[in-house]
Amino acid sequence: MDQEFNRGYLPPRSTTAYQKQAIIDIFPLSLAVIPWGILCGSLAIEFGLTAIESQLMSLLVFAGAVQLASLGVIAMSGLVPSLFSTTFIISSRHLLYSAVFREDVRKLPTAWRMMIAFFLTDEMFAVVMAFKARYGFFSEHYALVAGFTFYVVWNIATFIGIYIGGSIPDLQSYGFEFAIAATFIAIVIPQIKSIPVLVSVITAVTASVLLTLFEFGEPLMGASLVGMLAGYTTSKLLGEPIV
Amino acid sequence: MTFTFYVVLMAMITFACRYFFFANVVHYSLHPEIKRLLKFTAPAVLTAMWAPIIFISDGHLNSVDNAYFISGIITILAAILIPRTLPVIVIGLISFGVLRFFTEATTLYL
Repeated sequence: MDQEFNRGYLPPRSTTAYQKQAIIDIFPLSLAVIPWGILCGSLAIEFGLTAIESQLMSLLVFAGAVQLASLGVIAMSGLVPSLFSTTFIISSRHLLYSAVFREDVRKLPTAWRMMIAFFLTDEMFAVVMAFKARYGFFSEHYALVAGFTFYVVWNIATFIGIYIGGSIPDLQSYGFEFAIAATFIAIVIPQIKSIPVLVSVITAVTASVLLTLFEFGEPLMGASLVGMLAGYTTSKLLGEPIV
Repeated sequence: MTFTFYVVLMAMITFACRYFFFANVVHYSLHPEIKRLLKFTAPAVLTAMWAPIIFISDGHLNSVDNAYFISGIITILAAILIPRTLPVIVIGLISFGVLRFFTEATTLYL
């Protein structure tokens, strides 16, 4: 493929180039999530769901944390209202992603907006933000292909889990989580180009470690909001322009 | 069958959260101060996901004898030095693989 593109910092030229780039960028995150997909499929079978119900979770809900938590809720209490409140609490961070992409996405036709929303995950958000930081614009082709690639891998992994059933090996002991951490570090660190972003990241590290250690509330949402507010306050104090 | 219905409802909740701000029903623009806050979404949320993986294992703070911690620090240093994503991830994963190999070998023989 073209040389300058591989060296980076020059925007890719064609839609096909965006799409190829999307597949490459989401690849490490897709690999890292395979064990979780297998776990989702296999646990669903173990909790007595049919194969079709288990696959439908990944096909329609398409949110690993929600899928795993919902199985837990069903198994522990069987309470339907807590199933939906848990779903909402875990999904609430997607509201933030939706707000961040709002200005870029709202000018697109409804079908595009719905597709991008359907495929909007943590991983898709992460690579699209890295793309925006690097090239300075939002590409709906890039976003859609990144989201769709991740969706396909997630569903294949779930299918494998369903096929294997309850007899999965201890996948967590292999440390796949580290691949997710490494990718997010590689995406976040280059975005630290101002003092407010640095303050936001350091605060988010501190808050997430403390909230997780002391098992306080929802560490993910709590630390995210504290980190965002720290960045916002610093930005205000330094009188940064908004843009 | 009932659970299929629950799955559909859960899917509607997750989709609603993802689509909420894409809806064009109201043509308002977000308040400038909200935009200022949202600029910090990516660094804060993604950090809130990677930090506990690197710094905590089984409810305890990691230290220098932990593969997650050391390779996490190596990945952070690599990301400061190299602005490209893929080489940083590769360096991080290789260091993690090597450290896992050695920490597991030491646990076996001690």
